[in-house]
Amino acid sequence: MREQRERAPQPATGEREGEEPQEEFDELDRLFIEHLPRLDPPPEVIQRILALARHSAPPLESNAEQQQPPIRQGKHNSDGAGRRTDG
Amino acid sequence: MTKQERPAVNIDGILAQKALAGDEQAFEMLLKRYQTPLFSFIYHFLGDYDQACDILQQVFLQLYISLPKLRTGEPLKAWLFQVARNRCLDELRRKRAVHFSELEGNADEDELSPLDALPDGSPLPEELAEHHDLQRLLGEAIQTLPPRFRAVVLLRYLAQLSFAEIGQTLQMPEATAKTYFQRAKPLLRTALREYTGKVTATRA
Repeated sequence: MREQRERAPQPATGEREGEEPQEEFDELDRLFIEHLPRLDPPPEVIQRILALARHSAPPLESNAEQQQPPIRQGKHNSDGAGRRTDG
Repeated sequence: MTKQERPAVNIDGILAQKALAGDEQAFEMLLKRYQTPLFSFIYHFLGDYDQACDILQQVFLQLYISLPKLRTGEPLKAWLFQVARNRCLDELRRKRAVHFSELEGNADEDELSPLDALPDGSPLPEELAEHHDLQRLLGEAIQTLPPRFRAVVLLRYLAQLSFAEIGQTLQMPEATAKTYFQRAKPLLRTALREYTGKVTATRA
């Protein structure tokens, strides 16, 4: 997850190598960037996800045509993956 | 992962392909890449730990289901946060019966309606300077934002997305994402001032 820091809104003194020009970050930005807690989910949740995936039918290529591509511009109510496929 | 994989390589796509081929470890690696930013985003969006766990599970299962249709040439990040944000909005609609238009941004952008929904009288820390309390304060300030602003702010501060990515994630123009971000900041300042004032008054 460290690589995501590449695009972190840097504090005002931060470097911006290869970045699009951003507005300066003020004290408020710095406060949230530095102190808003990043939380790890409980390990049991991750284990549950893995177990559910393991016991689910493996995703099949043949399903691909039935669903929208994930990163597609659409309307607000799309589910990110297009149509909702779970509950 | 091999040494050949430089940052320019789409690791997400490689992992997704491997997961699709039945590599459980690849799917697990995808989870590890995004579990913390996603969970943080969801938790701060909803302000509910247990719900955040549920939503995170839904998002990753949605990822698993969607593996066959992933565009492996594109990073998953925006898609994952898009799903997460939509699930959060669904949850808010269910839980708070917030009007759809209120969530999606057709209302006056300067209104502060979610502030009214905040639980009043929640105990405030006496030692505001302590880091733990500061974190809680910031989280509470985030909760005062209208959901459409909240999503932008969280994606910016927590998920570290560019405004272009935020626009893609939230399906809005990049300029709108920037505008929402800038409009959210005075609201955050106000919220922090209000909380700080309450604490000061309590201590006096």
